[in-house]
Amino acid sequence: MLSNVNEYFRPKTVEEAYELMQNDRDHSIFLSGGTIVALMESSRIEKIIDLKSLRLDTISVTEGEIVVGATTTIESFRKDPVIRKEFDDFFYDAFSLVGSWQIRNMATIGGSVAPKLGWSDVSTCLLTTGSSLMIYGVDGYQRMLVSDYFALPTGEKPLITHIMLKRDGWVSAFEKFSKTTFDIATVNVGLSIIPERNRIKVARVVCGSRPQYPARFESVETAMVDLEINDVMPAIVRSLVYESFTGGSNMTASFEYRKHLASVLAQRAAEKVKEMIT
Amino acid sequence: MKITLNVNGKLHDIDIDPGEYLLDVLRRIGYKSVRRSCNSASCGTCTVLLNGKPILSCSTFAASVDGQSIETVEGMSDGEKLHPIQEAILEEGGAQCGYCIPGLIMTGEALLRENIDPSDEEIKLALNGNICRCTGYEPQNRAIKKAAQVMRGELDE
Amino acid sequence: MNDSFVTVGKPKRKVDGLAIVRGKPVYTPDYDMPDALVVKLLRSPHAHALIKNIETEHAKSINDVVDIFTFCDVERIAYTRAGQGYPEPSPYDTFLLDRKVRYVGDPVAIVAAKTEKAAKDALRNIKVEYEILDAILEMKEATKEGLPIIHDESECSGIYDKSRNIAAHYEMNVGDVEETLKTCDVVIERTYHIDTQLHAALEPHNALTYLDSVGRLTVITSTQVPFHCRRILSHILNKPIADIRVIKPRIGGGFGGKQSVIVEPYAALVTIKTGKPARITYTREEVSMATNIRHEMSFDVTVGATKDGKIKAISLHGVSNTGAYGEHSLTTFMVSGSKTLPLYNKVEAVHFGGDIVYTNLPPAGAYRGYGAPQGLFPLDCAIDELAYEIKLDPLELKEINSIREGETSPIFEIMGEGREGVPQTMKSCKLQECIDLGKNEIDWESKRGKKIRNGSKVRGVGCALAMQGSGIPKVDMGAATIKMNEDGSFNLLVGATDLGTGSDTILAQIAAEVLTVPLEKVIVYSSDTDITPFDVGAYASSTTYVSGNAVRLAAEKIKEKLFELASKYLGKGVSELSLQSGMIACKDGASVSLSELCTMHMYTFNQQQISESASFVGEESPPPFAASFAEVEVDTDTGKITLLNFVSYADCGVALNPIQAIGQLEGASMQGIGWALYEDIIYGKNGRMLTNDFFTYKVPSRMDFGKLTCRLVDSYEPTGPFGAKSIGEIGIDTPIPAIANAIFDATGIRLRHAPFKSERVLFEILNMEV
Repeated sequence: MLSNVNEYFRPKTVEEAYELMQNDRDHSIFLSGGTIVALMESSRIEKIIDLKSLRLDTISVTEGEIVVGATTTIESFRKDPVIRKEFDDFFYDAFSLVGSWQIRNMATIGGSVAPKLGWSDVSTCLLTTGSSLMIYGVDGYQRMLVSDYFALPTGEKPLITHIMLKRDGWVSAFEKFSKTTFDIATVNVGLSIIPERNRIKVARVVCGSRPQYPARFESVETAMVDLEINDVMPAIVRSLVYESFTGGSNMTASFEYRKHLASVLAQRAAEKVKEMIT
Repeated sequence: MKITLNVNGKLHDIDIDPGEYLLDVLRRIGYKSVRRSCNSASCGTCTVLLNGKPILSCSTFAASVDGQSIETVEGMSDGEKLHPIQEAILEEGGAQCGYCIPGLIMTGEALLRENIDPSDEEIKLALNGNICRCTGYEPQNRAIKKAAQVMRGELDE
Repeated sequence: MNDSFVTVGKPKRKVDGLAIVRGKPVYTPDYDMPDALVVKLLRSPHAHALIKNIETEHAKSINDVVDIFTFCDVERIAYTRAGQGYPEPSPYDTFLLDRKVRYVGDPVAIVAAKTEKAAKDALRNIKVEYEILDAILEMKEATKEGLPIIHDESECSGIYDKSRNIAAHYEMNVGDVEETLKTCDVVIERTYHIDTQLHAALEPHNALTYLDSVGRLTVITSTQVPFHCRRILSHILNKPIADIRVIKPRIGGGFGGKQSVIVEPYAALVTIKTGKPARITYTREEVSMATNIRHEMSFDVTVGATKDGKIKAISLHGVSNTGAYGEHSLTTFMVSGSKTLPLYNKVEAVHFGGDIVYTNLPPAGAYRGYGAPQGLFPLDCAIDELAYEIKLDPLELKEINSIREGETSPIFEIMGEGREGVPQTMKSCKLQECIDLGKNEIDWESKRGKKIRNGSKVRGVGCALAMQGSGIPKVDMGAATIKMNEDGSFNLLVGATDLGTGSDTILAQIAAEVLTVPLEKVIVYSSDTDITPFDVGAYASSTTYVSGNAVRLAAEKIKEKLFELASKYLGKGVSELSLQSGMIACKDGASVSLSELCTMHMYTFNQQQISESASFVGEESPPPFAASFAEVEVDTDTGKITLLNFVSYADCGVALNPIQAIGQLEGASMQGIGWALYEDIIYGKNGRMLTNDFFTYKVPSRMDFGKLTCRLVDSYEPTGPFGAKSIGEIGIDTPIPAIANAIFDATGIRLRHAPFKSERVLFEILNMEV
């Protein structure tokens, strides 16, 4: 039990939820799936703001992009027919080992991004697909890239309401390394490219659990432009990532090991992408 | 605060603390099959079905499931008659200490409702979050497979 | 052999199975006691410190806080938490609460409150002033001069050398290793290191205590050792044994972790001081860092042999880390030798010895295998290394040097547990069959040395042989009482402790077999110190052999009694009677059912309760044997080891219940596999265990291995009940060496530090490539 919780709110609107948070930011928590809250130090939390009551759990297609409500669970997201078809099972496969089935039934897409966790496979994959977030904050609704959300100051507690995805011709692959199959990533890597006449027109390379939150390696992306999509391409990607890796050490892995893993995972993701194209 | 839970088809009006987890509330009203082990969403022991889907009651606030439907292993057998998963676990030696078994049965039941003919790989993936420290998993995986066969009518109980 | 049995040797369903699959309230936390006080412990944030001042008044004033106890409130009595036979071969170095704390997590104060919230609030409001002392966090440092002394208190007893932090020391020699090595063609000298492991039983340690209607202390607890628990509580609480009752309900896993008396005294103290029921339940973090862990050990191993593969000398000299307290310190270390060295019994000289040292880390204790896996890793892998040195198949080298039926080893007599052992000759040893069948199953000949590569992944196979014991001979005693009911059913009362192993079931099978009744006619009850006879408890692979023999003896006494009573009742000679399918029949056709016989003797004829008790102490400890094989795939790009197949064949004598026996082998193997590959314990710089939850400490899940193939070979142990010996522990001994040997076969890299973390493996590979 979170024994110091004395109020439980079920706001009806996004505005109301946001206001409730602003009233007592130090002692309040947004509740979405609940799996992160279970890991938290408990004595500080006095107010729970349950976002499930906002009914932001639908997936729709609007103006050519897929709009996903933030409280959609990971399992219903990965199994959604529209998502599966549009992304050729990229998310279906990548999220199959996020936590466990139980966790995927609880944890939400918005709730996976919101706390800016380093190891979130969801964040890495959303960055890999160039997804945007709709957030509600001090200036009302605002659309931003996932990477911009990560750069927001930590004190701000805006509310993620939707995630917007669009395939736009990108081919994506995801690789995760973890100690066991029911474990967070030691390192995860997402890679997307747009091919053009058997060359890479443009690339996205994302690495998570560095252990800091997922980041794009822009120098690698730049260097990949115009690379021919052939058998040596994955090995080139590997050495590019090895040279540009930024991250650190924690008890799960050292910096050196992560750097090595990230480059190997990038090579494997590049192999997959190459297979999909050719 | 007051909430209502439908547990195994029976309605309960319950007074809860706003910070109370579903696990503690279910135990308090008598559903002792729901057990705490890791308390960090990492072992599956406390699994119950929420609206038919397996979730972890150790990290679900009771207040968040007000008015919804919960299933526990207490609702699984029809009087004296065991559910095929329960039968198969006994038959295959799938239970040793037994502490993980209610959670395992509920996850297995949810899987078989979705997919009555799961492959070995599908069984392992669905149950990967149900840690067992006693058995080495093989007999439990076999039990789910066997229960599915029984439920498909291909095997006598 | 099994065909002549009706109930034993058959895959009977667990007698407690129905309750388990129905989720019935059968474990300690399921016992409702609405007014029980919540007991919580304040724990030390420092690895080594003195408490200068402790202020509890403010915390006591919090609403619903009932009382708080510190070292000032408890009698200073030294004890050991080890649940072992009396007198325990473990030092008395523990106090319920002390002025000094010796690891991060050591208890500082006991809080009793009416609610969980009040108890937690109280913990936050106790003010403790510590004088921080230097801490010893490396076992290899512990005996160096000038370091702090962890146990300097005068009340302690049984510590080998307090001034050098040596809890216990052991040394033994057979022949002269130095001299024998000079006659060897090849000598392997290596150092192997094996880290600690968590038991990770799913039910946390917990207990419920209350005073019964006449004021006796009742303790319901998740323990493997109810009778040792009663005795130790009596000592700590200064209360007669007659005033304490310990009840063990179903247990949600133990693996040795509940073979120490850990949580019970705190709740009992609260009940005694307040007169109220009290419940203590450890959080997962407390279970991890403040109960017991496995002993970390390091061994210098030397093996000498002739060039044709005759092993002539073995030396294992090591150090074991007992952490802050010395429970099970000497005995686990001795088992590292006593249950591994006799395997290679053809040697001329053997040395075994070393120190068991204190550190400011969580206390180590009993854990399935009990030192044997820590000893087998260096021993088996050094022999494996030797095989490559002399260009012999390692399996063949192990095969030709290992023990067989009719043979013995001098080690059996020299090394017991905490004392000398007993001489014994192997009356059953089907190691050869285990080797042959396992070798075939894994396809050893066609896979070994092939280094089959697929991209960055390369495959290899490895093997390991193991033995264990069946109880501690001349020490472990188990007893059983059988009492007959008028419907021909029997109550079987045993002190033996089923912790999920299925022992209630096999003990009932034994009684049913002797009494020729269906299993349903035997109602087992275990264990309650007021009701069931004494048993040392569930450890040392003793239950099937020791408690099983006691049940067999008790059932045989009942059978004799039934013949005697039936003889009078029917007016026939005892020699003319036979018992079959619950009927006593005379050659002339006269007969009486057990039900009728008992009913008559209860109500009308020669009235008496038909009941008998029997006890058993092993004169020897017949070892089970196993041969295990691992097939691994090493990803040379990431260091990841994937276990494709693990095959284990064991000789446990007659498997009284094959499905439960195989379950023990499978479960122990998986626990060994987890230890080999995934289960790292990491400490912070201050000695705090960082991997104290299942989010960071990863036990294997279903998708973390390819295939697990565990089987039993036909065998018969004449001293065991219906031919049985033990099976509970042996499976955990082999995964680490077998996997290490398989990694070598695949990559040419010898990993001498377990577990084999992928990072460690990768950097070894990269170093080799350079």
